[in-house]
Amino acid sequence: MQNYKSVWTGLFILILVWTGLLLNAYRGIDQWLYQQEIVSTLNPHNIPSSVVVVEARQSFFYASYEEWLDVLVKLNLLEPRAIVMPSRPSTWSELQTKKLITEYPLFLGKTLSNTQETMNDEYHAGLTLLPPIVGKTYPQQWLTYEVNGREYDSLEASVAKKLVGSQFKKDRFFVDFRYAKGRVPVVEMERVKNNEMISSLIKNQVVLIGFMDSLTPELLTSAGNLSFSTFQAYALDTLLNQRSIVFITLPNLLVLSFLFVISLMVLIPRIADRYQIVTLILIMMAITFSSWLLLMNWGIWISPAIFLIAEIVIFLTLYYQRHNHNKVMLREMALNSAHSMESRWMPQNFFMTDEHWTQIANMVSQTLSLNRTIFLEKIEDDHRVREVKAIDCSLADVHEMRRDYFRAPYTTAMELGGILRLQKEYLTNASEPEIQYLAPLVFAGEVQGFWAFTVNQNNWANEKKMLYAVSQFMAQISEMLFHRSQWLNHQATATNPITKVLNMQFDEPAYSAIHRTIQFMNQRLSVMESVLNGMKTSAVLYDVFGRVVQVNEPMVEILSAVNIATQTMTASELMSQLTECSLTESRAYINYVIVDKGTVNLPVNHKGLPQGYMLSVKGIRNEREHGLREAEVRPFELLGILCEMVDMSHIREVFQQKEQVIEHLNTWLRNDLSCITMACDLVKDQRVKPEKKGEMLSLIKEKVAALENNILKVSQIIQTDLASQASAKYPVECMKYLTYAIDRIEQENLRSVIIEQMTPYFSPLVMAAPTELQSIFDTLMNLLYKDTVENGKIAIKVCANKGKVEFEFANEGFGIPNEHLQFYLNSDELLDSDDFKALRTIKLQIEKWGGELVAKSAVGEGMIFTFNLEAFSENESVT
Amino acid sequence: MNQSPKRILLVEDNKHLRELICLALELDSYLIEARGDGREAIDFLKENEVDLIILDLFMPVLDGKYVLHWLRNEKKSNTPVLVMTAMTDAKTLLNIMECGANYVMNKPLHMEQISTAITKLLDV
Repeated sequence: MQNYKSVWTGLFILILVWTGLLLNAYRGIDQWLYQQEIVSTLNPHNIPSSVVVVEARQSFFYASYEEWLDVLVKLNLLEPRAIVMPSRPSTWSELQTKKLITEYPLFLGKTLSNTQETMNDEYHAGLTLLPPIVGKTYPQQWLTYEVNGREYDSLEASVAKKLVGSQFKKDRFFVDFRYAKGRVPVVEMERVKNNEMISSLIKNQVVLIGFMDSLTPELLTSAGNLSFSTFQAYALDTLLNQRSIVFITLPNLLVLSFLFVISLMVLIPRIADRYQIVTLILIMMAITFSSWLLLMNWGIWISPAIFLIAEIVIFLTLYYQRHNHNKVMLREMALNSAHSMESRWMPQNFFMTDEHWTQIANMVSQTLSLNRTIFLEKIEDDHRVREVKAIDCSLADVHEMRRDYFRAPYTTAMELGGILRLQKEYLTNASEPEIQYLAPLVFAGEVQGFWAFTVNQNNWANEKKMLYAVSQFMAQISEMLFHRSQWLNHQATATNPITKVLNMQFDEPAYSAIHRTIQFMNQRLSVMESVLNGMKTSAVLYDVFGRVVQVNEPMVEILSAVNIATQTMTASELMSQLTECSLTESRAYINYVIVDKGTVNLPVNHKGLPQGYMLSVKGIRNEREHGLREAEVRPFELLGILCEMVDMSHIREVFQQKEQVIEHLNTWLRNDLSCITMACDLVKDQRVKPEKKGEMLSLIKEKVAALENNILKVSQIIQTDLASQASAKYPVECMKYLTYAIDRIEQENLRSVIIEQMTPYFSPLVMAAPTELQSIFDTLMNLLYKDTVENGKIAIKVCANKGKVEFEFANEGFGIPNEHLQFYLNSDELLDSDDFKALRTIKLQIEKWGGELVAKSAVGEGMIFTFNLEAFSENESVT
Repeated sequence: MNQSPKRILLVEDNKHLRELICLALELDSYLIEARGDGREAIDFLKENEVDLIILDLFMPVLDGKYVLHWLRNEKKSNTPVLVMTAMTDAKTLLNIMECGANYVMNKPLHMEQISTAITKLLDV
């Protein structure tokens, strides 16, 4: 059925317009058009008329026979083809009338004064009849007229039959009013009486004698208001010249309209939308012009109204169909994309299975060391709660049997707005002494459910800390419960037909789907922007035309420092600015990225930027959909160009670390070799006693073994993948990072604090991780700097001894009570101070590396921190 | 004319190397005082004078550079100093010379090399 849609539409339109035609619905339009087309020709036109109207005053109708005879004689002398009078003057006797008819080409009409009157005399040629009115005009005249069951010719038909031998099958005809203005000459009777008539005007013409002040009103025609006699003259002229306007027959009209509708049904869908209105107007003009042309040249009236109506109906129908189709397609797209976005944002199986909630409950339970936990959700349109997921308990264990969240303890928890420690038993069957809590799960200001849990007091000595940790999870779980309830509601509505009918939700409105899609997309975009901004790598994404699509914050931060505005430059310009390549070279690189799908990596070389950055330029392509759209034309397969400033300093750091190890190895080797070479020299020396030589040889063997061992140890370190073990222990040159920390403090040293160092010339290698070691030095230096008095001193000592490297940081400062410092360092309590939080972190880190941090403080004296780290080798202190 | 034997202070943290150098120098009839780190060396020098100091650069507690700095700037001594180091980079060597070292000797060491250097420094 769908395939024959246009056929059915065409048939529907045909039936519609044909019904209108049969009901004469277009008559008004046709008459108006006919009128307008005839009127358009009313300018004087040189078409000769066969009829001349001689108009006399009405009073002349009652003139004597002699006066009439005089007129007739004078007219006859001018050799008219015929003289037509609408009726016989009452002054004429029958005999006189017969005589005149015999002697002159006289045609008399008869006016019927009532319906009983008949035309049963010999001298009347036909009936003088008022024309039939159509609408408000008189376009037609009678050919025959039925009186008392008998048909009589009209006067005009009778004259035409006799003069030109025409035969008529109809009862009326359309008078030709084309070029009507002035076509039929009208002369006054007085001119005939006074012999002022021009012979050429009358000769071989039919003279119709009329009366100018007749009682008959003027008739409205296409040619304007005409006197009855003039109308008769036009009618007679039409018949004499056989110029009656021919109307198209109904069968022909049906066939023509059929062909017209079919043609338009084929043509219009192939015309572009923007040309449709113009096409509509052009076709309407063509129809009107064709009808005018046919009427003017061949006197054929095709009734154009049906074509015009059909055209408008076709346009409207097809427009509606197309609009409707677009709407349906748009709606489908919206729903599909909404569905797709939803599934990407929150996988549907998240709600469909119990597995995810089990994972959440397990994770929360394990992370917070909970004994038992149960998540409860509100039942929609009810005041009770039900179980979502429980670990080591179930809803049956809830002592409170009503499950009514409008009652305590739920209301108490809601009023509290936080976690309520329950005094009465809530979860029964406790296996061990435990504390019970109830937390309301609130999202968007609305309670979504409750979270009841129990903890063993031994697991959480610090209740405040535990509640803080629980509150961190509450917001997340509340949001998930909200999404779950939304999904459950949607499912209930979507799957239950009764609910759908009751809610009058037969279908989701397209705008709602689009709105939701946009929301999801916004949310997703926000997340993606946050991810992009949160990336350590500085990145800017260009479109294929080189315009900036997105710049992340790290990139803006780096480039704004050197006054480079990415928004105003293309990818090639950025490349040229940041690296040493010229604009021509950078364009070639971009071309390589776009055309050859390559990736370009160039070292960043800009005066204002730190060393160690690599500019990576690559194309972003929609590879995943490539296979699906192979058949499509894809002019822009490339979605964009991504320029990233990759910080290579970490990799450089890794290489530097390895270099340092090798440098240290070199030192140890030279030391060990010194022993060997010296021992060899002494063995060769004659002055050395033989027993000493034996000791020397043993030493040489020992040192060779030590050498092998050192080489092996260093080889292992060299082979280690440092980049992937960033936080593991590794030989690190500690002095380098200590120097960085000192430099930072000295740069912002506003209080003129003196930093004294007692450090080895040759930096020992300690077993640590660079980033964490840097953090340790920074933390200690910050803490001491803040505590140090103005012009005070910070003393740093570093000493390598017996396989350990010892560090001491001390200051002359305000200090804090030692017990406070020990509390900050060793307690699990939450701290407000970021410095002391960091201190606790570095303590743990040092211990993780096998070292120990000791801190002391005295009010008015300052603080002292000492810690040691494992040296890479015993050799660190033996060089 | 019999000359009294020259006194040399050897400061080297590596025990084996210290003993070997001591033995070698004793064979050449020098009087040797050996110390294991910079602190011990400074303590010794505060109360004693020597003809030559052989100093290792990198040592625990106080390193050779510190001792050299102390000797030249605090003790104001012109005693010739022969520095032994495993470092070979020009920057380090130049830095040591600027600090007041009279001779820098790269490890590994040879007996003959040490003897020649000592002879040269003591002659000066």
